[in-house]
Amino acid sequence: MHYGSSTQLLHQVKQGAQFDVFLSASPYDMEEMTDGGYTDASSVRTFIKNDLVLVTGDKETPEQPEAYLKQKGIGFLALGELNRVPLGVYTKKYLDREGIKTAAETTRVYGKDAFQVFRYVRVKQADAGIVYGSDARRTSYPYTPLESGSDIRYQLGVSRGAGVAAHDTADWLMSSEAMEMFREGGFIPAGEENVVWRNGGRR
Amino acid sequence: MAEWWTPVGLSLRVSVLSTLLVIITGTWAAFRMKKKAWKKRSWVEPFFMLPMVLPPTVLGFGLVYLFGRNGPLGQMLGLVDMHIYFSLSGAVLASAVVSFPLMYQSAKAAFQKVEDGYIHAARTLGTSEKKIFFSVILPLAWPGLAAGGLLSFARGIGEFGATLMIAGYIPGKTDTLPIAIYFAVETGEWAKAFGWTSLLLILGVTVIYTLNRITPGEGER
Repeated sequence: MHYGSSTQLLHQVKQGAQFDVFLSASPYDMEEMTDGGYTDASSVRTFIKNDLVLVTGDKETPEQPEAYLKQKGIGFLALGELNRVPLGVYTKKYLDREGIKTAAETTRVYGKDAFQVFRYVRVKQADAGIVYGSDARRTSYPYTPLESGSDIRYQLGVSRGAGVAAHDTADWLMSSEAMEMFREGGFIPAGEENVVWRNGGRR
Repeated sequence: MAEWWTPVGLSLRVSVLSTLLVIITGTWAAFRMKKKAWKKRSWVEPFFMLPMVLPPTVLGFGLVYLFGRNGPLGQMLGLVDMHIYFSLSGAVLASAVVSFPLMYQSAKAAFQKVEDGYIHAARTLGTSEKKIFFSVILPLAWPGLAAGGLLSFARGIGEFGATLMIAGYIPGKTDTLPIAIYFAVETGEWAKAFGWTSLLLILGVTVIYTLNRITPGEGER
């Protein structure tokens, strides 16, 4: 097992690192892996999903996240850096799609990764933040789902020319046993509709 | 282009302020400790030197813990409507904390070099302690103190980890050079990062060159 950001891992594979199964948080990196002939195109599937959520540190999170984000009284709003950090790239897409411009009084603070953005809100340094739903669910943190920010897919792909064992591992990752594990980590199994949970698990 | 200079200006402001802060506190602490007995000193000094051996993330966590919105000091500042987190003062504080040991160590060495004979002589002539400090000790110790100040400046301008945790990345407000460089590299803006890196390189060489000039080793003068 070898961890790293999808892009880092992609670079390592390009440099000749060996792998059997590649799990990617970014469809672009997976595409590059397949185009480069590293992963077998027919083995690539979405195994889990994720979404963007609004967290404010309060138990009752805003009912209308879009209206909340536009208002003046936020203070510090934590976001992933919008151009490269994956969380930020998704956030930018969401803000653009909804046409949300934060008020001039709102100071945007950018984190270098999703952990940092979530931490800024958790320690109440920031007043609100847009983070991954998985981070909020895993920690039972109250949140409001951002409905048009829900198309985040994680894909897996098997190395070209890998043996049966690699394909078995990939199949296991799609099994209900593995899905239970991912669900505990706050992710949404690929076969399921995104559930609109509010406030830390209550429907 | 004006945008390119913003982090440079912010970094200079942060390092100048933190260096001033550290020169005063570091010199004062070293001078006070000089008078203390060895036993007491050996207990206090490790705390002074701690920022040098701790990872910046630990210092950042400490600062967030103390000065965050819910931290004891953060709440006190909140009463007068001030905040250190997500502001340039947070960056100044982080820089000051990491460079304090360098200043303290340099000042300590500088004071140790001042021979007691001069101080005793001044004292027998009835000079006040304050005057002894400013017109006997300081002039004799200044090369070491200046070296400490320079080192603190150079260390302070490079602070990244703790700064990002407490001051955050707010473009145009808290993006000092190391933070701006980090995000420029991450977002593939290499030309920008290259320019800033060159600037820091020139600064680093200048600082070390100047250090060698003001505190020459044996037979180098």
